[in-house]
Amino acid sequence: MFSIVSHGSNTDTPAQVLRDTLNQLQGPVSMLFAGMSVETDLAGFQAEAALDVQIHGSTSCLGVMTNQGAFVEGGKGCGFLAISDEAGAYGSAVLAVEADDDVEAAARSAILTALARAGRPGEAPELIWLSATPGIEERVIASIQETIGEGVPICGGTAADNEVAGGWMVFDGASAHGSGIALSVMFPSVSLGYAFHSGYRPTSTKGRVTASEGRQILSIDGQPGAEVYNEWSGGRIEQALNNKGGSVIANTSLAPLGRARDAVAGFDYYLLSHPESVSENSALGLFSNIDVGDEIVLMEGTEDNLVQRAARVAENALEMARLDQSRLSGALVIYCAGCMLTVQDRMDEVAQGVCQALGDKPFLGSFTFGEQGCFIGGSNHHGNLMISVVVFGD
Amino acid sequence: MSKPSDSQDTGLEEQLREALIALEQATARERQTRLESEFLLESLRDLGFAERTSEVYGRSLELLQQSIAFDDAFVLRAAFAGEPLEAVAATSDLFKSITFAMGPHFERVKAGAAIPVYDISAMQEWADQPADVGARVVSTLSIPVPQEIGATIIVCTSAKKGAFNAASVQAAQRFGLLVSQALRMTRVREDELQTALVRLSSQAERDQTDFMLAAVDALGEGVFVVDAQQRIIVTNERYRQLYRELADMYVPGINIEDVWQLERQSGFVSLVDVPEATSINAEAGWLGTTRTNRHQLRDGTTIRATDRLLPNGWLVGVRVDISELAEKERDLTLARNEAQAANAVKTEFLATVSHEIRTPLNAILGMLGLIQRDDLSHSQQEYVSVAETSARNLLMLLNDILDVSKMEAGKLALEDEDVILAQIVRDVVRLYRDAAQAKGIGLVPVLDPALPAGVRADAGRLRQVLINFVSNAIKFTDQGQVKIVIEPAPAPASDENHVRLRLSVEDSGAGISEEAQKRLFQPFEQVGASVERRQGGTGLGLNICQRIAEAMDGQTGARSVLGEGSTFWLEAEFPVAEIAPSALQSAPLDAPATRPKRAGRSLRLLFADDSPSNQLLIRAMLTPTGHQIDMVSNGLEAVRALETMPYDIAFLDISMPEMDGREALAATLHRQQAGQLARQEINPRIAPLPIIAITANVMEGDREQYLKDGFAEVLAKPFSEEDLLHAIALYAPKPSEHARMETSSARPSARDADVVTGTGTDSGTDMAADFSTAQEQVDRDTLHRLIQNFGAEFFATSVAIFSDEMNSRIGVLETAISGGEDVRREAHAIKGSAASYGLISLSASAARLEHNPDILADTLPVLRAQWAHAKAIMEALCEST
Repeated sequence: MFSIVSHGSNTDTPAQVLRDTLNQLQGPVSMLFAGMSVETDLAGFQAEAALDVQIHGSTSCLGVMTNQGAFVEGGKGCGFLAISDEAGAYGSAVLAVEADDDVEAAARSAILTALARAGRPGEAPELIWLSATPGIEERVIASIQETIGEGVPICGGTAADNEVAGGWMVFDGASAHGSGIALSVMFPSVSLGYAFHSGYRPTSTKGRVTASEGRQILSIDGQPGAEVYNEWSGGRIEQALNNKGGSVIANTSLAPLGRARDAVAGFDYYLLSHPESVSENSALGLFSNIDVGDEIVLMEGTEDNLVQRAARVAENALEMARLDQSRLSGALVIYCAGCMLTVQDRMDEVAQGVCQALGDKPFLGSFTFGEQGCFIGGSNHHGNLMISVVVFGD
Repeated sequence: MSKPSDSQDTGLEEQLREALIALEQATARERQTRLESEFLLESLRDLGFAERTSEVYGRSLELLQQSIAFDDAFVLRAAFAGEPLEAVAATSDLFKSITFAMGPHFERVKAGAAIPVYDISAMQEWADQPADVGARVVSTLSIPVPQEIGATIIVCTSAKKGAFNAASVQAAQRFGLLVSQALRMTRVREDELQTALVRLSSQAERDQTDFMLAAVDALGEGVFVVDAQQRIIVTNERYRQLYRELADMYVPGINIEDVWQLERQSGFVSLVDVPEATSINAEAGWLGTTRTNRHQLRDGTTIRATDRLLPNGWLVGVRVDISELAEKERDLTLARNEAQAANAVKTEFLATVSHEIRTPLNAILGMLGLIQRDDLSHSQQEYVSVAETSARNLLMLLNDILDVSKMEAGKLALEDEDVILAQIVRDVVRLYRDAAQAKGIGLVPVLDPALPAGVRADAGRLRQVLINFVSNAIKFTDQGQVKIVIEPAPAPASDENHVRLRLSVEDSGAGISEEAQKRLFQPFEQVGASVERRQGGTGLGLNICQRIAEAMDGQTGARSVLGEGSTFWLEAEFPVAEIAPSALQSAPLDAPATRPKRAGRSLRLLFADDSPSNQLLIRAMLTPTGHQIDMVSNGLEAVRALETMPYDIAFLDISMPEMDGREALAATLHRQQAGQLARQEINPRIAPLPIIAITANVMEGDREQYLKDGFAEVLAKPFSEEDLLHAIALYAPKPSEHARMETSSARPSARDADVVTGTGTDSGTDMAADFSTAQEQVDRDTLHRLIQNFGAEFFATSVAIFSDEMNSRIGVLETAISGGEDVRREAHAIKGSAASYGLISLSASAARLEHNPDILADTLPVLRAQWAHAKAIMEALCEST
């Protein structure tokens, strides 16, 4: 029998929320997904959680949202989604990434460990759910695909704190890592659907990256990256440029940069990058890697779009799985923290929209510093300002 | 480098973009589904050729390569649970003898899940395989082929890690089911062949079977035979030709259910006009019977499919190509729909135009009636008479057209009411007695005594049919008689609660030629065209009769012999009605007519009644008699009138304002004793003035009391024209007395005493409804009779007057004090007037209030509602007539 429940709350003591969640579940816990703000009592949660339960935990900016609403007030929200599926198989692994060189090995180890814990070594899971700490996501994805092939969708979101201060964590019932990977493999007995999209549209403003370094655009079309972006966006980061550097997250969330991927119906699907800082040398820092030669497009969004988009992505996931609400059991939702902060006052609307799209079924939504998902063409990506949804059938 | 967009409609563009993407995705999904379906169908057809399961295995691997990319593939088979899986087919020799122990991976596959393995090196099942196998395989896709016994699994391999994705898994899952079905069919065929070989062991049996098969093959229709286990026994060549797209599937031993399912899934066959019927078991309800439906094939062919399920469970099917017939049917349906649409427009137009013409025509008739009251010269009277006749003919035509329009529009709703058969005949006789007399022919009603007194039917429509027949009969009969007969029809009724009636009209007229008889009931057909033109007539009457009969599930007909006469009839079955004895108290059918229209002396009559509608009714009843009628509205005016005018008879309503009937009687008797009545001035020895009470008081003892008071007679409301004429006839002065009166009748006009003299319009009514026992709120028969006998103009006018009266009386009641005398008075008036119109419940409620004026508060809302209901019905009747 397949059972799925979720529960969320504005509290810094998640233990009770966990108890409330598990009390609703019918059958033994096969998998527990945890999302909580860095202000909540992680140790208390771990003390409450049974050691033999497979837990996939990741911190979320300010809090979470569930079918009960958005829990971000005071930056102390937490929520859980538990699955009981004795006919299916689930395995998770939460590992630290001790050094930059360890990323690929840690990712490989995580996927193999998770498969082993699912009792399905060698078999390709139906879906991988990923939470990594910021900065290593693309490498983790590449390593997973290197290990098991590219045919498995990888969805999830990057761990986040409340103030981009490095407080993020991935965790399970026994450990927590400020630099690490939480990864789960799923072989559910029910059908799955997924969708990965943004709430932005491309403008006609575009250019090509002529110099980059990791997540920094040094130049666009030969000009300093931050200066070009400032001109494109009508002076959104003028102050940071004048100050010779600084955070620009809040200024750029409605004007990210996009790269075309997987064209559908003559329209490109865009993978977004969120400008987050300006350096002293006028380089533009992003939340995702960028390569020299990439064509980048200035995207534009509105608050309304950001509010409504999560529900539409959820609907897309249902369509992809050819499910209707009556045959839906629940969902995992990733919503970009940057978007969340932009429409923070309207998060109840966002949660309500998702809830309606999912027919009031259980879901857990986390607010992340990067999003992972699988485009319609089957390719896995890491992006910013995106929404990623996975739905479970009945 | 471009400048930033200034677009303000980001949201709209984004929505459009999303919609296009969603559309494209949906299209792609549909395309993918279609491709998959076609592939699966092709595959099943391909596999259908296999005569051995071993062929299915090998062919499956070849087909699978069209759907999923792999390097090698093999089929594993374990005959029984617990046995190892052994290769039974492979695309490469390397795998032809590969075996696997049934480990957890293959157990999951066997359970029904297609599972991709990204790297076999981690798989326990592959650990023991030879090195050359391991060197060639990195990832696999294991596909279940569901089987009833043992396990069958197809394994695709690739040298690339994680080569199989979610799309491969989905395609594999479906393909596994297809192979499963193909294997099942092939196994059945193998078994069947084996059985057949045993069965056809003797040459004689083989010869017999060959003969049968040859005979079936020679048939021009497609034929198949299926045994009780739903296995095809035989299909003939024509059958396979008709269903050629799947001809390969129709081989002996195949389960017909599987084939039918495939036919429908592939869209090759769709059932027309019937629900899904794919299972013989589900059709157990038609065991031993024949069932026919239609198949629409994808290539456009229409097949009539007739299946007969035999008692032994075998099914025999016959298939006939009726494409040409279906095409003609479609054309005919199209043409019929177009014709019906055009006809509906015509009907609507006629109805609208007729209605619009009738309204001013009523006004013309009303004006002509008024002009006739004036002093006209002879030639003027002629002109007006011609104009009135023409207008009435036109009105008749419009009424007929309106009737036909209603019928064509399907708006002919029949009433379901108690119909007294004698009453129907009586009504028609009354209506045409004068016309018959004028032509010197007899009008003879015959009601078979074996019939029940009444039936449940639409009295108005039955009457309409008889009127049509009778009017025609009189029109075409110059001597002899016209006989109206209601008798049991020759055919028996369906049960004892029903009676089958035959209403016929026989005449001794000129008769109708056989040729003309064929067209009798056609619209606009006039049998004696010249006579019709002379007599008037629309040519619609018989057609209307036929439509009415059809609406009653009955028939009309005619029998005629030239020179001998004609009989027109309607036959239909009706439920027998239980008629209350009180409703049958009218004069018997064969009673002599009592309506001496202008035949007797002209009397001077006084009527005192405060109800304008009652006054109007009385005028209408009596004006044709030629009697002089004076109307007053209360007892006081009546007493004054009697002092000034030598009346032959006075009629006093019991309940009137100022002075009621009994008080007026007393005053008149007093004056009569004193010799103060006008008639006594003319002849002091004249007999006492007959004063007749008119009353709605029908309680026991009332009549006796009134007679005791001194009234000569009591006329209970509602009274019929016959009742009234009968009373007049009874109390009319002897001719000698009358002559004496008339010699000196140069008295002051009744107008001097505020008496109004009026004229009516037409004749004949019967309001014999017994409202004290009636259950219906409105006696529609009474209303219809009013219309029929007095005409639509009169009815509309009387309804308007009656409405004003009712509104006024209810207004008085609304401001009256409960229990007061004015409550009793108004209630009494309403009781009488309402009864005259057949408003039975309203009359009964008023009677209760009259009896107990203390219940005003409770009764008033009831009166209002009943009046509103009755008014709506009456106005609707005005509108519809």
